[in-house]
Amino acid sequence: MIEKAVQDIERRKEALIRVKTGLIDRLNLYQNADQIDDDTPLFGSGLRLDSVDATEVIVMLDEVFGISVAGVVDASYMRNVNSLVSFILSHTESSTPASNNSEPGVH
Amino acid sequence: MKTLEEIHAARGAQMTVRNGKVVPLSVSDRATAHEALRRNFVVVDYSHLAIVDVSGDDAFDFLSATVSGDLAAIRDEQAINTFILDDAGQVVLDLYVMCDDERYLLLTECMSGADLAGRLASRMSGQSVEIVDRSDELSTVLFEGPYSWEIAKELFGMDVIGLPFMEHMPVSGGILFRAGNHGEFSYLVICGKDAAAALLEDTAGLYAKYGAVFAGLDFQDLARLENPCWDEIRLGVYSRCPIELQLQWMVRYDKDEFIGKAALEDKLAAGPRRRMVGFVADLEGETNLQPGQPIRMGDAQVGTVVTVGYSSERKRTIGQALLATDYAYADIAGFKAGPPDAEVSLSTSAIPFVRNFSFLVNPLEHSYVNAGRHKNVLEQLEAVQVAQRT
Repeated sequence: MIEKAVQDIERRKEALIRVKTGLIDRLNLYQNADQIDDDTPLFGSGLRLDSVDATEVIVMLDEVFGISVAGVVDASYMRNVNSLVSFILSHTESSTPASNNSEPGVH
Repeated sequence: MKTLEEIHAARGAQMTVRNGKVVPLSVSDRATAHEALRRNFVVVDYSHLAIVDVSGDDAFDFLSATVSGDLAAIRDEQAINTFILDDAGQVVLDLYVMCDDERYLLLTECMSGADLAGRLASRMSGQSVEIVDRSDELSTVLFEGPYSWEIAKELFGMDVIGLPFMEHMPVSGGILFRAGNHGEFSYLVICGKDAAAALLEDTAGLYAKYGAVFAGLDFQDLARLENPCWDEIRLGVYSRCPIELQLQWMVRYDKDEFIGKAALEDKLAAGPRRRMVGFVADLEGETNLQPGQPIRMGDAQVGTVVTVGYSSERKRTIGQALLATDYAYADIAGFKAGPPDAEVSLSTSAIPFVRNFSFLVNPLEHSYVNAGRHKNVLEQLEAVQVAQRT
């Protein structure tokens, strides 16, 4: 159990860094990765992204993680950094079409 | 016209003192209020909200050096949600700072208006700033829930529909401010006491047609369990560090000096020893987990339960814990909490814990009361599917 948790933590840490640095680079955010918490909302008061930025996030998912969101109805994976990472990890560990509409961690 | 006190007494409200004000703690039972918050809306006397007016030639510079957020990011009729920190970089209070014409309005649940005004005044050193506590002359009424926008539209006009989050507009008798922490559409009406009483009395019976419920401040218990935010009562005894609390979005590091900035930067450079993370019980149902109980991974104690309760939306015990940084990541299974004879298996989770119903409601397309419109996206999709079948 602990071994599995350690593996999952390492996998998540790696994805979090890739997502945060991707957001910083692509959206010209002023923060460094340590200043963006995992639970930071992407929109509203959090990183204050707008609809144009949302498009850039979708491009990042495609170019960096190989994930196409075409046909994904529920956009709640964009709620915060953590939900975005959960979405990425769920798609990189399973390629079943059914997972396209799931959002681990937010129900 | 009845006073606020008479209205609350007539409803049999259980009152409490919050922030130096006597306000309703409980009006409806918690389950009813929570259901209304998540599916209709609640109407709450929010008069405990301290309101302090800051104006003068140096108001911007003075406030910018006081709060941790980016005051330069807002213009007239916009607001930020930010902190006032102490010199050690610890949270003293969270507040909304509203830019309103030639003044700033500061709103907080964490400190009385007199204390906030006094704290601000003690930081002044020759600047041209006027600080006035408006808390005794103004009251606030909260409308919060998936259809609160619709009652606000009915009361204050069509412009409500276009009001963005964290912006405000003048309305008859006061200010309508769209702001909230619980994931639903939320509006604060800041107005005189008579106007607040008129809104709460609802002589026209407007609220009933929306399935709305009058609630007291205890509605926040479940709302903030499911949609965590800074909450001094629940979190303050465990941590006041924005880095540990994962609330750095309320801090703007690259602006000029502000109270606590240097200490916070030092903490960030050193790295936090622990961080707040959401957790969900692996099995459905209620548990006896309590705040303060240890959390373990294997034989090692790795953290402490901070908030905990049962979420009817998730059908499980949920909460937040301060975990050692090495373990403080979402979606990790294998944690145990509680005493050895009543251990509960947990997994960490991203927050918020719920998919708020307001995300399924579009004010431009839906309506709770207009029979010609669908109430939400789910109804809309169902109608499309039925049409396709026939």
